[in-house]
Amino acid sequence: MQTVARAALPRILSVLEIMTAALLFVMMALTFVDVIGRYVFTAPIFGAAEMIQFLLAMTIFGGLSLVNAHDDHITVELFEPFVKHRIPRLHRFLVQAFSVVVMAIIAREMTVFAIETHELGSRTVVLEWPLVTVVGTIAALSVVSLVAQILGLMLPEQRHTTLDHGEPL
Amino acid sequence: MTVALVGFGVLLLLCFFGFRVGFATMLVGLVGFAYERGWSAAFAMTGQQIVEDAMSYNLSVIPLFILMGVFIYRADLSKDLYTAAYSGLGRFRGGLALSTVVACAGFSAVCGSSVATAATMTKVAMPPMRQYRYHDSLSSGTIAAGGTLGIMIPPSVPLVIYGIVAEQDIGKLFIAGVLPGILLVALFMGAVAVTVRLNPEAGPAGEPLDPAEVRHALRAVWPVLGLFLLVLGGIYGKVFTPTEASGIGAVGAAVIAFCRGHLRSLAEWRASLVEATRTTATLFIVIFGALVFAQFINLSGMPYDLLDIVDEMALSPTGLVLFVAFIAILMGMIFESIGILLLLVPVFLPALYASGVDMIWFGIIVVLVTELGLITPPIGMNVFVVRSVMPDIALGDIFRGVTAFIVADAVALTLVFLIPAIATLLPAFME
Repeated sequence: MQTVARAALPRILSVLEIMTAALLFVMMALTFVDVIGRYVFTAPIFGAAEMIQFLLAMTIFGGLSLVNAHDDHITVELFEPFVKHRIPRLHRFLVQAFSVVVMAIIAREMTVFAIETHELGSRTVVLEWPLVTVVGTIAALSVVSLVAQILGLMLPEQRHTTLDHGEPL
Repeated sequence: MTVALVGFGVLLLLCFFGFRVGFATMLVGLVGFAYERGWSAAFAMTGQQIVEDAMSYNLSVIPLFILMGVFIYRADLSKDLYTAAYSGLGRFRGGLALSTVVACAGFSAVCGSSVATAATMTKVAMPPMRQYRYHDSLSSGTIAAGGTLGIMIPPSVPLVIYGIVAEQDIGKLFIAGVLPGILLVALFMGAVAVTVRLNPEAGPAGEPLDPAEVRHALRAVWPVLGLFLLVLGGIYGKVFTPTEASGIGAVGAAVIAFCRGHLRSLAEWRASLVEATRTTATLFIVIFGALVFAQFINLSGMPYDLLDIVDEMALSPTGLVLFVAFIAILMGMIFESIGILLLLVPVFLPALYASGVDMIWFGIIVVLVTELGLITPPIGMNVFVVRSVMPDIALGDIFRGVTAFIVADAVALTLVFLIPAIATLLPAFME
């Protein structure tokens, strides 16, 4: 299993990195061009705010895989070092099982929501795009996040303490 | 109320034992909601809440300001900011520490991350301070405290989070943070001045710089100042929404980084964008969790029970704010800023509204408190960051060094509490 994880995880993450980087770039560019278009050319981009909303959701759920794979979630760490020292394996198991369960709930709920949206045929308010394209993508990305999280667990613990700007401390 | 208190108890226990904050708050919120309304309602609420928040236009300000911070961080500006500040302040007693405060304020204002500011400025400001034989406690304390300044100086992610939770205008909150931010910088400089007055050896004066070096630094600094003023001025003049300002800020920061020889390859762009995405996802999982938890707390009736209690106790608005601030100070010793804002504010919202508390003023007070939490023991995040970059400094020395700044923070808190206009004056002009 470890071999599978070692082979698959970097590929999944690499694809997601490119995808989320592109999404965030588009979000930045769209916001900028919309403002410039409005003030300089009196021609804002139609539905820009709605597109930004969708981009935000996809960026978050794409990024979630990257965070889940290395378990870089925010912790309090008050008694954690003490417990970790005494019962490292049990502690890791409990903490990670907990995270996986919650992530599975998120993935399930997003999928249910996407199916409901599809059945209702809901459309977005301004652009009138089929809402399922956005919610469906979120659901798919949340399932990928769950997979990345599980694959990450199969590898040796690699939670790294970094600055929130990526540079290792 | 009992169910909610049990929920809080379980949540604190889970967090203390290392369960991930976002996941823990979400599951406790979900189970609590299910206890009150059944599982299917709880699951539906969770899904709905997550989708709503993930697609919130107001929250899109977060990744874009984070991206602006990443670009500024990569632009490698810290050294020039420090030199520019030094050119004006270096010749005074404690001048290097004073320059550190100003450089930290400038860097954290546009970078937005207190952790990144503390780590970067440790690398930039510690070596010269050691060269001039500054006491480690003063230098490290100045950096740890200086790093927190960005939380108040806009654009600030904690202010955005507060705005979302308390349903307040994020633009107004940003503008409200300006004067308290300046006040904090002045008080931190005062803290340095008092420290070196009591112990002149802790921070001697520096030597004048080569004018060419100063000119170079000043030339490098003005675009950052310009970007900061453009972003804030745009929000103040209602030319941009905060989200639009964040887009302008991110593009502007990218241009600055590019002009300084960075962001010249696709790999660098990818690394910056991925960094911002990761930080965004980390924050949002906590936001999702906390908002699910807030639904449970609201359903439990706790905020309204608290409202009744406040009524019975006949607490004045200022008394109530004092009470909430006290709890926030206690929480700040353990939780970081986002946790406090997301967990504490929703519980007291109805009581605060009913008492007629100015919610912009209250937001500034809570954010000031969370800033304090970054340098107070036992878990002063910034203290640990400085220590991890400079492992040869004793943790005790840094905590001793931040004491003067904790006092400065307390003075700022008292002043904003007694003179609400410090926070409310500028937003009032936006009406």
